[in-house]
Amino acid sequence: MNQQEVMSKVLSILEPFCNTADGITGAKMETTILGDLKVNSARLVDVVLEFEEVFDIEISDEDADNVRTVGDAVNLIIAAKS
Amino acid sequence: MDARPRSERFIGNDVVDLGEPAALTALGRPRLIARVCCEQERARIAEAPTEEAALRLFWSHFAAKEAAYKAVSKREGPTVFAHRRFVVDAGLSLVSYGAHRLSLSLRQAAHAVHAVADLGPGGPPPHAEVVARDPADAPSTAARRALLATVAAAEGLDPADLEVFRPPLAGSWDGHGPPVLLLRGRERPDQLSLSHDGRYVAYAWLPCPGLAG
Repeated sequence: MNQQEVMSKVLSILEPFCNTADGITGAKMETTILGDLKVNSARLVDVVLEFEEVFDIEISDEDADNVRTVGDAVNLIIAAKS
Repeated sequence: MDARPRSERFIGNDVVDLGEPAALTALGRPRLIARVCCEQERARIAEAPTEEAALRLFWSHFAAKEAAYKAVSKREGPTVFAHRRFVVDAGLSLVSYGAHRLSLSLRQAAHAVHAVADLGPGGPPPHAEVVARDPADAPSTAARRALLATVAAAEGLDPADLEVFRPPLAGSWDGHGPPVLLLRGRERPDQLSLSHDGRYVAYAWLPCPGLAG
């Protein structure tokens, strides 16, 4: 999968967790998950589990803790799949 | 900066709306339970007498860990949040994280659980409350309003003179640090914690010793 494909899937995973009026519209690699997309921090475990399930990877707690932006998630997933 | 003594205690709180769809389906998601709970905790949840009790027990553990994480992060700075490393005891009165031991207060309401974790030498319990949120209110605004109303009432202050502020903090999840209380623009050393989930907002507040309005 290329970066754009991964990003598209990442955003589709994040969309139901967003609490903004525009959802994921306009989200970029630099978009922050908690700040810009207003994902409730209590749902981050669910987000990580979705990443693992959809991409068939395992994400350590340390790696999960470093995912602050959409781009962090995309890069983590690409690295895990390579 | 206020010259009065800073708190040696660090508190965190977390509320879980048990009516949220994500909450109701937790028991059918073993990967979620395995990610959040260590082996002993999973065993206790599996042994709960009813499905409802198991669901409430799981979310009590979750809220306890979130609350404890907030308290530890205030003491230690940005901390990796690995839920399984925050271990809740069988009596639901203590959370252990490394060498830290946090006292835990869990409140069970009909549709919510609320956890307050307290790291430090002990003392009077923090003020804490869960409030049903007006759906028209943004969650963080509602949580702050509930907290500030309590502070104002307790200390005879005008709520308009109080503010919750989250200073920038590099390395934190959203670029901001824990909330601090401002009185007429000056930071007070009180301990606060805010939380929101679904229909509810919650707070915990520990006035710093020696403060009087």
